[in-house]
Amino acid sequence: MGVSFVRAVLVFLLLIVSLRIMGKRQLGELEPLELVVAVLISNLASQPLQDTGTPLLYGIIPVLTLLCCQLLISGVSVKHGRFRRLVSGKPSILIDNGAVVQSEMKKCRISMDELYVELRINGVTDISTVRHAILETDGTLSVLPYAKFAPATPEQLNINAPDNGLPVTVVSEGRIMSDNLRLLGRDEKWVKNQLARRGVESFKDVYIMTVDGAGKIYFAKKERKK
Amino acid sequence: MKKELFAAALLLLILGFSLLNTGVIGGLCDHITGLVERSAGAAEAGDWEESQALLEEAMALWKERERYTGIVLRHTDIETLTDDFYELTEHIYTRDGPAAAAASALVREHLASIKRMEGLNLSSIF
Repeated sequence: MGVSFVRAVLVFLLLIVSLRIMGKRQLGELEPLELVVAVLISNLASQPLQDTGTPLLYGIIPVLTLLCCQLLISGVSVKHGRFRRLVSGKPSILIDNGAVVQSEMKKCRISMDELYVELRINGVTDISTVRHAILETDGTLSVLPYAKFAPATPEQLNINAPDNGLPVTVVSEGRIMSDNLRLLGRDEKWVKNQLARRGVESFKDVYIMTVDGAGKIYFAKKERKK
Repeated sequence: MKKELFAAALLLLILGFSLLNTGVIGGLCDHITGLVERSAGAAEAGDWEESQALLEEAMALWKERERYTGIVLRHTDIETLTDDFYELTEHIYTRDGPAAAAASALVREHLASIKRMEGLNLSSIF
């Protein structure tokens, strides 16, 4: 038991250090801390499940230990920036004011081809339009184009774009969402009226129905069984 | 902050339980080893009744704690030691001195191995 505990802590710390040394490109949208816990927990939990001769505690103790370590480290990280940088690293600026920072590219072990792939994923085909490209601590690339290449906003175009707020689901797969209706200040009667106008008799025939802040309704009927 | 405090408390609890378990298993192994050693000594001295009684006491103790050991020890270790106990009992009953001495050494070695594996030391951790 004690051995499982100490081993879990040691392997946890070792993996965090290893992932930090490996760099951001290995992470794939998870912070080092999250990746370590995700990888280890699945393996630890499966061992006593596969081998019934191994007590369940051999899985439970290390999993709980990892969970506690993760909670503690992430808690401290939120409060102390320096500690967070130590555990998760800091973002790397790969393109600064339009110039590729070659030293940073080398440090992150990213080739130009890989940078191009990431830029294309971000919808950029011409590198000269990029003002900043930042490799985040979770391995994703944030791309900020020059203002003249950034998509124009309605404000810049002097267009009055109404903000209709977040659409709220009121009927989902035949079930009425009473809490959401209450949030909108509507009731079932109102929904029934709206459905009747669309030629639907019952909630059960509705696949999805949403209403936004301006009262705009999106509605889809359930498909008939073939 | 509540979550972090809970995590710290749980971590301490796990550590405490782990250390307690190490102590309990170590103590149990030491106790049983002592009885087996005394049983081997009695057999060597030709006092087979005493040897048998001590061995039965050791086995009873081992069996008594099976509910606990079944939770914290690998089942293969428990089964191996139980088998070794039966083998030793057989040799003590048949009063086969050399075979009993060898079987007794095996039981003690397995007990020492369990204690070593559960103890916090460099060889068990790495």
